[in-house]
Amino acid sequence: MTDQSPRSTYGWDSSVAGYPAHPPLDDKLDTRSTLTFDPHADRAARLARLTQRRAGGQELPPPGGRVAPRRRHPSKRSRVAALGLSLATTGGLTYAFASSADAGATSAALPGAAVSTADSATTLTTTSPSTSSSSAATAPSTTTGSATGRTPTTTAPTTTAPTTSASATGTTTVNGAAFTNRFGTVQVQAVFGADGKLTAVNVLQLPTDRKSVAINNRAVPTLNSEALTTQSAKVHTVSGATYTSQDYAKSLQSAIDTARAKGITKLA
Amino acid sequence: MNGRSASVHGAHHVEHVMGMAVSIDVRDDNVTHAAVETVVAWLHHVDATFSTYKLDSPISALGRGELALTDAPDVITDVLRRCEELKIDTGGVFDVYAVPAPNGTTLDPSGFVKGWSIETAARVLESFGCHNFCINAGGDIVVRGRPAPREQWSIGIRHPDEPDAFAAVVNGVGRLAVATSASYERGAHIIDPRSGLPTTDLASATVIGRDLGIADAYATALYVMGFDGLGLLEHRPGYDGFLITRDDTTHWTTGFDRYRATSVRDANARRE
Repeated sequence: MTDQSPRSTYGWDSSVAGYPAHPPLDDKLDTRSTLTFDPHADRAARLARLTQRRAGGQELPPPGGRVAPRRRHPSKRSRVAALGLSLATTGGLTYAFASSADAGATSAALPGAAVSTADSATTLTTTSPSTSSSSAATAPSTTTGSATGRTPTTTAPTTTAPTTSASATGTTTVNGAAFTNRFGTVQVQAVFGADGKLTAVNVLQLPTDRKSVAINNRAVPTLNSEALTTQSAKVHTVSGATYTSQDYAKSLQSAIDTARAKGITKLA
Repeated sequence: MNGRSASVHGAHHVEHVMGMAVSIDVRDDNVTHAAVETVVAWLHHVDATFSTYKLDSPISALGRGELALTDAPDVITDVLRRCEELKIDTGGVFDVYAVPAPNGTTLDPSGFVKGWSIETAARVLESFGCHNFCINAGGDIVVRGRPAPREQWSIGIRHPDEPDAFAAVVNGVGRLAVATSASYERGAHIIDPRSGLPTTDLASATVIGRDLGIADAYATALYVMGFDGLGLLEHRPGYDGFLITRDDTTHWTTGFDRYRATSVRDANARRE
């Protein structure tokens, strides 16, 4: 975001152009697109009936669920107070943050990324402009800690040879090859049990771009905030982004391929 | 590796589609294989139509200009119409034409399609008479009903640093959608349309609300907007947000508290 004006962050002013108060978007079932797909006429009819009920305003009641209570918006006075508070702290925090903006991108090597140096790099070739690390057996460090930041490239990713280590408990850890894209380097580590099954995938390297586009030197809201804490709980399901990049998959596959070649696992 | 198990007490199917694992967990006793199969077929249909990783999909052809909007399948037109509404709703922050797509075009509605397709899948299940289920598509979740009599659905929001722990846990009964936009791993998929550059302020942004398509788009917008996005959500009744910054702080809208598992919070406070 290029606009750095100390706009209110938490006491949102709804008269600001572009962010008007707005009723929730219509989320009614769109019959046309669903019926176009439906392969079986009877199911199409079922969906059509469902839609008719919805269109007719007959909301399907959730079984045993309660309707969410009507939320009260914060009063104007509290909004003004929040605005005043955030503006009052903006100046102080702006000064504090002004000199702390990071520049440059780094690849963070996570702790615990113990890599066996027993194997030397013999199998894979480097196909693109130089990596800073000449020893491919260690964790690739193409962009770590560079003071000048990383220059994004659009060339083919570099790869380095995977390594393997075995532990006394019978599990085997295999590092996948590292793949570098224009955001940094991705490398994962596969852990196999004694039976050859994949028991864990650890991320050794992820690109972490510290250069913040929206340098946040605004006031940090003091309402509804707390330090990030770790909670372990029994849940039914987890919401969060997944590692879906191709480099992650490639690094994992290289670890699996290496393990298979060494007879550690039968995974494909 | 698609796992399927169906018993008299429900069905749990995992399907790999749209580049992710979609877990369909139905708790109703009367769930049929046909219900799950229809959902699976729907998801593959969405994938074939909207995948920006497939150069020959209709959305890719549309993005390249080889397909006219009037010739595009109705489902694409519907999705793009809703994306336009969301663009207006978020003041231009959610813009499917503003980010480069993997297919080389500038049209990528994936940020909405993912949630919308799962929300539609939930309605398909409801049309088969299922009222208690949870679908998790790569971290975007819809739930309906209850996991078991007198129980609530319990949804963990992933901790950005520790894969097995949570930053927060939310509970819900009935219709609920949870979408998270995050960057634990650097990727090209979260771009601020106003600058064209990747955003990196936040570790993750979670939106909880009624419709997963809307929540998905709001989560993307919230991730781009940061704290301003919380202000936007304060003015969107029915939708609440939860942010995790890179400085290890969390922030949320006032309505988010009604979902948050207080007992876990208290347990965590005692540990401090």
